[in-house]
Amino acid sequence: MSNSQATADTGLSCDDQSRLSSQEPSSLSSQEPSGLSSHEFIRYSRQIMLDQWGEAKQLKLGQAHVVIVGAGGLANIAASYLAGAGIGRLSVIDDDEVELSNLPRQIAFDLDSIENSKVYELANRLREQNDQIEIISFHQYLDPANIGQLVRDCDLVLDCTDNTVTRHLVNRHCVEQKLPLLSASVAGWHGQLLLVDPKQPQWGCYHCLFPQSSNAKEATSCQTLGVAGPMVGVLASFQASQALRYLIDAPSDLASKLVCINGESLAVQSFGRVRDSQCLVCATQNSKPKSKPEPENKP
Amino acid sequence: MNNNNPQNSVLVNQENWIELSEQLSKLEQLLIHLDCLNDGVAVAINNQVVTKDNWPTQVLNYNDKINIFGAIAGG
Repeated sequence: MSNSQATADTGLSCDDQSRLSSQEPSSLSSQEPSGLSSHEFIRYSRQIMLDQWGEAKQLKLGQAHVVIVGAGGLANIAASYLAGAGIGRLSVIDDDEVELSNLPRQIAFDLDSIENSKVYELANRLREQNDQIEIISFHQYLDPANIGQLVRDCDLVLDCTDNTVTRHLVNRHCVEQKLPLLSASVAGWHGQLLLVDPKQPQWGCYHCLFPQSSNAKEATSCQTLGVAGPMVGVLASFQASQALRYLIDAPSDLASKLVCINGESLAVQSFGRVRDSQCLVCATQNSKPKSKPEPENKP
Repeated sequence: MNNNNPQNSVLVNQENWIELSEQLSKLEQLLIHLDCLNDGVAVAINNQVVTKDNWPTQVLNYNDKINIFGAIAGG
């Protein structure tokens, strides 16, 4: 057997076992209250061996709670990677049902899913993928009245929504509640990614970049511009990988950047961000508990 | 607007060189000139986003690389 071949007892190659030697759990035959079981250790071994990961960070992921707003294309893929990585609790919020036009990019769904609730379909798929974690689904439209109940007690919020109104609602709530927000969006062949981190408020929030106002030109969306399915996968994969890096405290400067990805030219551009001193959402947080109401902008 | 690189111009969205002048020396003037002055766009100069409160006073310099992009909301 070569070193690259898997050994029969653990499923790990000799190279892997050697590299993981410093990470091995104290007992491979029983679950330790403060450690990974042998099953978990093998299951997550390929990520545990990564720099900045290790068993301690894997245990941390198992205790983490991530709220995912939206159950469409981005969430299908991002949630799948987070479930696969062993995030202990995932909450998914969406009031939509699956439609035929979703299938090219929303890969957790199939023909049998049509007209069914997206969150239920996605939750079932995630449970099949990883039955060791908790999946909570909320078949509700997120609005100012329920966001306080649905988006809380979590370590990270993923914005996977498809409209500007909800994006601003989630951003405002996260800033006010000091919840880290990882926002991805996609339309056409383009996508954007940013992290709003309450630990680094100097870089501003989503509203600093794209204020919600009557003067704002309508944002591009999949409905208005169309969307290339693989670009949804690209953005969702970046979103999931950055979520994992955030949760294991790996170095990242995403909180100070807006990343723009162009699927036509393959260009990935990072633009430095800074808080808008006039921002109605985040610039007032330290001085005024209540910020000025913004104009209605229902879709 | 042209595709050359005259010395007194800025490059917009990696495509078009726009010549600066007395009437076209600030970022807000450029956005008005391009008919894209609204809150739905973000602007970066040399890869650094310029916040909206600074648009009226932000001076443009020769060879600045300016990116203007709109919000994407799809998911």
